[in-house]
Amino acid sequence: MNTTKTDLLAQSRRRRKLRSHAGNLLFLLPAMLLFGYVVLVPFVQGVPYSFTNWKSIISPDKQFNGLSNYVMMLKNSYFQNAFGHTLLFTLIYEVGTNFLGLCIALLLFRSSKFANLCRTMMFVPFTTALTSAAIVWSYVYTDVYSALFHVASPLGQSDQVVAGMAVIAIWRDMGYCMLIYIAGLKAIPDDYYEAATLDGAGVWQKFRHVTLPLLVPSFTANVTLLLAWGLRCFDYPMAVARNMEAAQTSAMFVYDYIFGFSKAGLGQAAAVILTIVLVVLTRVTTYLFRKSEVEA
Amino acid sequence: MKKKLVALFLAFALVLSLAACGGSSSAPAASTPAAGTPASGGSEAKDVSITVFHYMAQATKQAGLEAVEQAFADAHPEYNITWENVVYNQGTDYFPQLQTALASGDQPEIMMGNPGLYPDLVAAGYVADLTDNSVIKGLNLPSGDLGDVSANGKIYGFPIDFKTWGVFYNKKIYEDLKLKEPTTYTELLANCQAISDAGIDPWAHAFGDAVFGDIEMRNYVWTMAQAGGDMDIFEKLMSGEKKLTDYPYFKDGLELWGQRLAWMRDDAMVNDQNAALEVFTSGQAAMMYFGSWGIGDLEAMIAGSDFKYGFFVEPIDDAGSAKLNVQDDQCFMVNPNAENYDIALEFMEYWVVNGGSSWSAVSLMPLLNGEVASNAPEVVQTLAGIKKTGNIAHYGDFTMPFNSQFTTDWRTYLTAFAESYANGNPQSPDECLAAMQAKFDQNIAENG
Repeated sequence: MNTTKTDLLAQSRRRRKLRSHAGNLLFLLPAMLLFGYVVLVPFVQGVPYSFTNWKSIISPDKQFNGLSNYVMMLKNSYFQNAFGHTLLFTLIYEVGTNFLGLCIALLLFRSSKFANLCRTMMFVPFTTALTSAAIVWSYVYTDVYSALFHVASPLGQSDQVVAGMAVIAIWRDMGYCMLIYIAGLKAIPDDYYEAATLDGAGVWQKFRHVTLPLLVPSFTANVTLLLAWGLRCFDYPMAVARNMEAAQTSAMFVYDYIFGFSKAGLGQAAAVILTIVLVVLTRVTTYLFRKSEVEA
Repeated sequence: MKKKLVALFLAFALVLSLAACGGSSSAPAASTPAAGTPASGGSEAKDVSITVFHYMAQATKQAGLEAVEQAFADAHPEYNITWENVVYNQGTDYFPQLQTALASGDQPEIMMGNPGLYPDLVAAGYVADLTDNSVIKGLNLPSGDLGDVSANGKIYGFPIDFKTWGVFYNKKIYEDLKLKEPTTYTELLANCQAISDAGIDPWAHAFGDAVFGDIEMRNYVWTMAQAGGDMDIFEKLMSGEKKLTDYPYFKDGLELWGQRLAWMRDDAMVNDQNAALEVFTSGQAAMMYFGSWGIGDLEAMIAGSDFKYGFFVEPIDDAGSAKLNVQDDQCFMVNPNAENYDIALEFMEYWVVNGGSSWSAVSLMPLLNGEVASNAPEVVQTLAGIKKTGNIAHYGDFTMPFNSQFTTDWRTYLTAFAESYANGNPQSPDECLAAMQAKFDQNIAENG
């Protein structure tokens, strides 16, 4: 009799849990459907084209050509260069945005009217369109930076253009990182800091041994997201350095091949390669950060 | 539970509304308000809609298009026309946008562009063959004007007007320094030096726009190649039959251009056309290598000021070999698959025969026959006069123009050449041509 009662209780608990999970999944479903319809399905549909010699997207003519597009793209030094520019952009963008976002979060995470105002001001750039930010900064570079330091704008120099674009991206997105870090900082219980203070820890030690380990989930979110945004970089070079080879990113390369140069099969192969790299890098990064996460 | 259900319902409603938003056909980059015409034909007038895809970013040209549309509508009360003028970005990004719109099912009646630059449109049947069109034949245009609207030996477009480029100069600076319009390259360089010695920058550059490196080099290459009889130069370069170094024109051109690039401002590489025009019209620079397509913008910028400018064709040597470079500017293709193809064709025929004056009066553009509206600036009258003489180098006389990828690469490497001068570490013409040829070879290998 007792066993039956326990079984029934367990069954009921399982059902409740299942219902709760199903409810949560249902909430996710609209977004997943939209993502599937707008992103996933078109991408999967596009993969077969990467194995054809399809030229123009307005032409129905295409023949299967095996892996030759992939071989050609992997050997293409201009594609490799574009990928190199993308990686460099992503590296500067990742480091700069996370570093500044964290610094600002540390300065502003305690609530006060001044901090709230500053947070809002820091977040405002994130609400501007990427191209608008790029165009505004092109004027900042020419009319302010050049005038102050008597040097040419980095957007007009091949050896500085990627860094110049990364600065724009850092300015725009550091407010977003700041918000994630502030949320992470607020979730750390004060008890830990009090205990560390009692143990004689200084400011740096508390930051090193309390704050940083407990902020790893925020790092995971920010680094992963920025990695994806950085590797997809398209708008900045399109807006301010369209005709500089040194500013060409992988996404621009794909766009030009598919839509501009009527080499849709080759461009699609480049897109697939880029996606694979993006997924692998994102997964590895997420895995490494998740491994370092600790419970607060 | 009830709350959860309500929340779920709202979430689905949101998705449905988003899906409904995405259900419409592809949105154009920008669309001017439909220039509807009054139903002047009364109740008998046939309702038609004509969509024009173009890349005329300048306000004067957009107004010019609307003026011609209105004139056509007034002349044809039997139609009640709704015009949809869809403006796309200019330059090498026009074709991707146009192609995407067509691939998504849009069927505009009229598309702006030189057919030779868009062989895919021709091959896919989006462009009507106008070789036997009696109106175009009746225009008796020279070979160059027709060449620019042709592909594979057939005519696929209506040419409206022409563009050209050269040196626009500040008349006051020239007068103050007692300089004359140069007729030799040596004189041009001497003028640059004199202006620089007076503490003024000789040139305003706009290399932030890819086309500017291109037009500065065309002057040398087109003129020299046509004088050398190499009318198939671009066709042979794109097929791989010839290399850039097989012709002397590219190296000679780069050497000449490099001498002028010795005078570059800090903003030369990032200025776009408008930024460079501001530098020029504010008197910070004495000259600007510029094209006729932007004269309307230039005039708007100097309206109300006492700024005066002149124009000369840049000398390419000391022997007086320079010629005015000419290319058809506004050209329009008609889509035979479009719903109102016949009326669109009628409209284009009207434009080239009767609508030119409406167009030129508002856009200030010189027409192909050398005519130009009386209200056009002096420089436009001068350009039209030179075109009328026939002493020109016309792009349409080449057997084939550079197509999209070659154009992009040509411009990219010329911009890099200019950049090397801006950075004080000038590339040699051989280095520039080697880099460009390597990219051309890559294109050719990929084209199969």
